[in-house]
Amino acid sequence: VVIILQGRYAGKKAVIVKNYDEGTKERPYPHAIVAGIERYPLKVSKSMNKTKVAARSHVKPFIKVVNYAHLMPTRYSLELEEIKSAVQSETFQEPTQRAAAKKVVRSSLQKRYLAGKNKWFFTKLRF
Amino acid sequence: SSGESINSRLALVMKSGKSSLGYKSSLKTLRSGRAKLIIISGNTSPLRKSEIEYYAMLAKTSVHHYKGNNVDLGTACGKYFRVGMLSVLDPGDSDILKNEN
Repeated sequence: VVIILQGRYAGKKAVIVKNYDEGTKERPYPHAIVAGIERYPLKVSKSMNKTKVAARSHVKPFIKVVNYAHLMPTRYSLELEEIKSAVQSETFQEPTQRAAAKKVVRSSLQKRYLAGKNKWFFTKLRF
Repeated sequence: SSGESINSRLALVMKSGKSSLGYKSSLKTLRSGRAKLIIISGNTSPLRKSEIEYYAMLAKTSVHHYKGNNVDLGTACGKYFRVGMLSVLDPGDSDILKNEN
């Protein structure tokens, strides 16, 4: 798990899906494809009813190709096999592919959150 | 080991080994795993110091806090500029790495 340091998603947590330590021809610098969480789920309390809890537990994801210099690595990790096939370098060529990939990321992240795992990943970083 | 010996070991590394001077390049070597030892000068800001210590913890690389400021560290490397941080990639003939352990 990394924290994005620059850009629109600065301060958001993300999972590395694929890293390119050597870079590629289009991007001659070390970079990684990350899937992150753009809008964190809101806090839920016991006094809320089911519909409210469901609405507050939504996770909005993002996918991005980021330079290593704009990432802060953490000691946490998050294993997500389904995302690895959905988000690849070809995904970033067309907006429709991006939207489809984000749908996959959203569903798998949502499942993870509702299962109560990886709590640190789904809490907003306060700064 | 005293401050004197680290200077002599550093001089040997500069002569016979490979090192990377500076914050940006040290970070790069830490990310790629090529850094064997990080030396931080005494007057780097605590935020930057703890950031590098975290990176080194993840990379399982040892960190040495140099007793002296960046001016002294630059002189110890034989350079005429200030060196706030450096990473040793290849110690060469020096035993600087063995002393850390």
